[in-house]
Amino acid sequence: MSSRRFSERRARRVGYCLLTLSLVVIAILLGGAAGAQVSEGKPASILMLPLLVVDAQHDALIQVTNTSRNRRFAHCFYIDGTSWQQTSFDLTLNAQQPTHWVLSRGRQVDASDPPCSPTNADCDAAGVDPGLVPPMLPGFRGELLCVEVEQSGFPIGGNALVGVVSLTDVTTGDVASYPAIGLSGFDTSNLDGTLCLGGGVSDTCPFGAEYSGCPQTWTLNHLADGTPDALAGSGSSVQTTLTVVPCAHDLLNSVPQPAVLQLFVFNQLEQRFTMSTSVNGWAERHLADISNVFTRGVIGTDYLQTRVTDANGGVMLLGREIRSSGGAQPVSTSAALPLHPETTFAGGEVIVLPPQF
Amino acid sequence: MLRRLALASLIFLLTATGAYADAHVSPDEAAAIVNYPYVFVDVQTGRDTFLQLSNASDTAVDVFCVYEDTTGTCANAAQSCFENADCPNPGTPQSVCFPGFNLRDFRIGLTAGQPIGWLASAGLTSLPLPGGSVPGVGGQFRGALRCVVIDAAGVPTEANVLEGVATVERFQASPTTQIDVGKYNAIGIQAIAGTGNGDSFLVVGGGVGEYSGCPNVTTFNHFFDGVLDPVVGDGHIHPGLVLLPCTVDYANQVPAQVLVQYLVFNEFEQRLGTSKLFGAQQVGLLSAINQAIYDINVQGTLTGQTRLLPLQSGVLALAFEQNDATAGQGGTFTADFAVQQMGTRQQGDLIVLPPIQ
Repeated sequence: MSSRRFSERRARRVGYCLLTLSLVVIAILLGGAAGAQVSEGKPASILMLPLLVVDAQHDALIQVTNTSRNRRFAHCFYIDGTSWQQTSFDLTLNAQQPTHWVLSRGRQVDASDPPCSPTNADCDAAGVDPGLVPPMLPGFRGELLCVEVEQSGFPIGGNALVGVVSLTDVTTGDVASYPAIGLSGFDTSNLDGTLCLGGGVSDTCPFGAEYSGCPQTWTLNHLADGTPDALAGSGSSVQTTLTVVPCAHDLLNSVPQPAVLQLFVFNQLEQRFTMSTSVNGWAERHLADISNVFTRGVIGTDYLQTRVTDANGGVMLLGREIRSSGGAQPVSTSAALPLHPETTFAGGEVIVLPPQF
Repeated sequence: MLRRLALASLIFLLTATGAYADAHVSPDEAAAIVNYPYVFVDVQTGRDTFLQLSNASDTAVDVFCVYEDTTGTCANAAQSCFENADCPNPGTPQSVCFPGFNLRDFRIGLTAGQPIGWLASAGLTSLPLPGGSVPGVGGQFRGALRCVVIDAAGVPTEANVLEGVATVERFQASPTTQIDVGKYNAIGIQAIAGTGNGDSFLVVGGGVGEYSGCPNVTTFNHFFDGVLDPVVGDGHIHPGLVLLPCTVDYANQVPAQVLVQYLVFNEFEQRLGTSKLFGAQQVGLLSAINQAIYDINVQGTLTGQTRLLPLQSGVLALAFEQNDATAGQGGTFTADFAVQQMGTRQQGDLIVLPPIQ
């Protein structure tokens, strides 16, 4: 009898210990989950390509790849940053299939497109066509959002998609490439048109988060605006531009989402400056236009670290650095400036897709 | 009841810790080790690399860094080289560039939130706030840079606080002004809290990893070699790849030897494969890995996806493109972009530090 009691006591003690340990692990994991979950380095279920431009000087080449061993589908939206007009299309990608298209030309479906060969260098459309991709007309300046779906069009968290954008200056051939920013999908999708990014259970999101949450804070390591390029020397300069895309999207009502950005800038002398700016939907901002604190003459050092926080929610950011040579006939080059996502918006937000009918 | 609770807790613990062990290296997040896989200086051709390093924390940290110089030596002459073609009588059997592996280390201190930057060729005579100096690498250098967070006693710590950016630039003032940059985030390897034993053997991944593991499979999208630029319609695109082993022995100055298996998919869902061995660092066009399988005329489509699996050591990868744009400035434009990582290696990698003063 006493040995049975002892066994029960021991089992109870072990149970409590494991329960306590579990709670500790849960706390650690949840603590870890507070870090940023978006990634430029992993296949994802939602791809955001924040900056696409078609005009007399610019065009872009977009590559999207299915990294899985199964056929995958995606529903994509071009969203014009000025008019907020959306243009949607569907992609179908076979196992491991990469595809590409030029923003201004899109991609037609034509199975007879000849493959590239020594006698056929003009072979842009060679390969298994991913579907009809519409061309964007000159004047388009905005983003591309792609959501992985199942064959019938319902959103799923398959985490199979990666993407790359090459922004080209067609007058010089200068190219700036950046990877798509991805949001991982979970097994909690309820297949409706409201995509829940982070956060907990709510009336809008009865199963909680269906995708990883968006970053709320990013860090940007950059040069002060107007800093001379060390190789080009006197007269040259470096400028940095930020493209801002609030994570929440209402594509059903075509309503841009506002964001209030707080910026904390650290210079090399351990001095800190604070400022803020607001945007309504997709926006591009030169750092020097946000505040002259970002200029070399005011902040006093070449190298800066800036933390950007959206006060109201999650936000996607892309930096672009433009170096100009100076001199009588200045030439310039641009490069995407990768940012570091630091913290995730804890509140959760949604992307509302237009209905399928 | 308690037994069931205990069993459920145990299952949860195994599942949860298993998921946690899937942490991986990332160009996105601040880390305890940062790797710059490609640093290039050749002052004769106007090429240099700007390196930026920031402390993302609110406390000061010490950092130990090592330059790995893989600049080679010609077999048939006492001169430095990067490729066989750099040696006298190129194309002959004697014209071989033997890769080097020379190390140059330094130690600096970063104050809270402090960003610093330097030109690789020149270094930094003194930090803006007292914290040491960074040696220059001279006028000809190809290699990598790795930095590790340490404490005042020179012992590696678990502080995930470093972020880095590299800008590889080419500037030519005459006969025509040309400027071109490629930019990438340093790849961070995060320390796993509570696992560091403070010795000079840094275990990266594996069962007893002190740092998150290197990727198992790395994938990236790319053009095939020799593609006619589909955006500009002039000039050709040459994709390239940089690989840096995760394992390195600084104490005995021994680089890793890594065999990498490659699988290449085109837009017809066709698959070709190859493999290649490398040592301290692999830098070059994809066509140098295997000319046939990366040839546009063999593959028949503009873009492809490469999956690479390293065997003896993990690898850190960086993809780049060279566009021979003849439209504007007549120069070669380069863009760097990050790759995607899938899973982590089961086997751990090892970084062996030298004694730190």
